[in-house]
This record gives sequence, C-alpha cells and structure tokens, in this order.
Amino acid sequence: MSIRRLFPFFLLLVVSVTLMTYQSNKGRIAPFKFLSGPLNTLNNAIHSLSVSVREPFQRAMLREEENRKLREEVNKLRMEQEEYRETFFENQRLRDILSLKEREKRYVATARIISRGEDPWSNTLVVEKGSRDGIAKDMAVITPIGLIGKVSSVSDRYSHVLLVTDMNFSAAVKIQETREDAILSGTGAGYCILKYVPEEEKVKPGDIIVTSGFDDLFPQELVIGYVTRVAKKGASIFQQVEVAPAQDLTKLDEVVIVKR
Amino acid sequence: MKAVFLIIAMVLAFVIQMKIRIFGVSPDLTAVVAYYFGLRGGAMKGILGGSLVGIIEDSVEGIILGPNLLGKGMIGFFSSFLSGSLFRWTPLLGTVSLFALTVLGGAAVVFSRSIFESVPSSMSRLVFVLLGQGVINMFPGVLIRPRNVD
Repeated sequence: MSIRRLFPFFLLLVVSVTLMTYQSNKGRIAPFKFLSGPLNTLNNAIHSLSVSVREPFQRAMLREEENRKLREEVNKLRMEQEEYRETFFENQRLRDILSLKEREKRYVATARIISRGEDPWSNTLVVEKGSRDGIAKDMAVITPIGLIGKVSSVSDRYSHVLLVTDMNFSAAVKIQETREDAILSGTGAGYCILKYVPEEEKVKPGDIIVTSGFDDLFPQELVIGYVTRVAKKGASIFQQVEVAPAQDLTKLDEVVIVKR
Repeated sequence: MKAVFLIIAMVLAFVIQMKIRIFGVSPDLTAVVAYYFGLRGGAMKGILGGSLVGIIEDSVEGIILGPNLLGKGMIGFFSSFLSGSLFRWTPLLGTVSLFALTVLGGAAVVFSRSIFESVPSSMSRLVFVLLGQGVINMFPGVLIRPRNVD
C-alpha cells in the first residue's frame, strides 16, 4: 500500500487527535450545534405524526380488552372504595395543608418526551420544553412514581434529561426504612448501585431508596427505586447493592420538572 | 440530485438512530452513510464524507469534537478498499465488512472518548452496544455495492 494512499488517513488521525487534545484542555467546540434544534423539531413532528396515526388503531384494538378489564376493576374498586374513603379524605386534607405551598413552589413544568438522547452511549431523553418554560440545568425530573433523572442540558425549546441509570448520574439517597445514607449511581445498564453502604448495615431486597436531599440537587423523600440484590464484595468494607428504578424508564410519556 | 439524496439520507440516519432502539441499542446508521461514501466514492471522498458526517454527529451529540470525526472518517477510508483491486466484492463481503467497520468505528469513538473525555459506559455495555450496532448495520451491506459492480 502506497504512502500516498495512506496520507489522508494519517491526516485524519492527526487532525482528530489534535482537536480532541485541544478540547480536553480548553473546553468543547461545537460548530454544528445549531443542527440539534432542527433535528429535535423534525423528531417532534415525526413523533406527533406517528402518535396521530397510531392512536386510532391502538384505541380500537384496546377498546374491547380495556372494557373487560375496566368492568373487573370497577367491581374491585367499589369494594375497596368504602374501605379507603375515610382514610383517603383524612390523608388528602392533611397532605394538602402540609405540602400545597411547597409543591407549587417546586413545580416548574410538565413536558412530553419526544425521543431518546442523540448520544447512543448515554441513558438520556429529550423533552419538548426548555429554558423559555423555566427549565434550568440540574433540575429534578419526576413522575408520579418518583425521581427518574435530572436536566443535563437545556436549549430554548428542548431539554435533555440524564436518567438515573446513566453512568454519570449520582444522587445522595437514604434507605427509607433504616434511614442509612448512601450514594446512588447509574451503571449504564438499566439499573443503579448504592455506594458506601457499610457491611454491618442491614439491607434487603425490596428496601425502598429515596433521595436524602443532602446533595442540594434533589428534593427530599423522592422515591428512586428498590433494592434488588445485595452482595458482599470480597474484603471490601462496603456492600454491593443493586437498585432497580421504581419507574419503568422505557415506558415514559410525560415527566414533571421540579426545582430544589 | 445525488447530493439531495445524500443529504436526505444523512438527515434520516440522524433522526432514525435517535428514535429507534433494538434491544436497547441505537443503530449507528451514520456509519452506513460513511461506508457508502467510501465504497462508492473511493478513499478521498470516503474520508471527507465520513469526517463530515462524524463532525456533525459529534456536535449534535454534544460531546467533544473528534471521536465520531475519527470513527466515521476511518469507516469511509477503509470501506474504499472494498472497491479496489484488493477485494472482489460479494454481498457476503459487504455484510461482513459493514459489520466489522461499524464495530471498528464505534470502538474508535469509545476509545477516543475514554481518553479525552470520560468512559461513556460500563465495559460489558460497550461491547454489547458495539456488537449490536454491527449486527443491525450488516443488512444494508448487501445492498450498497461499489461502482465497478453496478
């Protein structure tokens, strides 16, 4: 193979290594970042189109099954209704009084998910609201079930959400039952791990993990997930604890963004 | 006309790979575009076309500029060898080459990011995604032929 033929390849190597070395010292440069906006807009349009085409078919197919399930559910709920009525009203009254002010203060926006993030290596989502809706970097992203991630970057109309399972995600957490503090980190593989749980601490599968609020990023007591596996790791003084997210991260449609 | 087709193919590649996940793996369709540049246009066009796709991908992904520039540039360059006198193109060679080049390009991206930025994911996940992307990309290898085979 002639040197002349290999020259462009060497040039490519030199240019890319030089670029990366420069950026690792001086910070990122992104000459085509402006293309991200139109791509997200196109994605949003495709998402809306596919939803409008898919929904009538899905509705028709699911109607019969749904009716059957609903009839069963109505019977079950009627029985439970009486039992829960008193407790529910009392609970609601107390909760409304205690948390109304705090909740309204923290709420920022409700946003629809339009796609997965562009980076195939990360566990991220793109939502259709951005800085003009009041969203800022590092705000917590939740669903009615619990915390699913944080805002990792914001543009005018879109935001990227770093999911709890991403390798770069960390949060200060507590084991709900024992109140033991720990750090929760994503693994990039669909589950999280708890770090720094002492060997003598009693942790068992099923324990619920909530945010502690010590990291000044997330509000306290947001459910993140539950312990699925506990193991001792060789001579380490800490236990190896795996946590599954409480919210199924593959089945998200809408999320709520809240501030600390 | 050809330029319009290539632009549409590039935009579609970006949009589709953002939308689709197969067993948790996003397809690396921009690698197929880079492969097309190299196989049909030769080493120079392959390296330029692949680098252009890569540099746009780096910008859109919000990572440092370079990993995809290198990875896609490599795919564009090496795919040009399939249209030369070194190999006789067959659909099987196309399939295997596109698999191998996708894995090679992906590995270059991961390697670069690990050195100059941060390790993008756990090792087992990286291997799974790289091989998964290779397998997904294999199929267009049957259809994309060098000029001298048309």
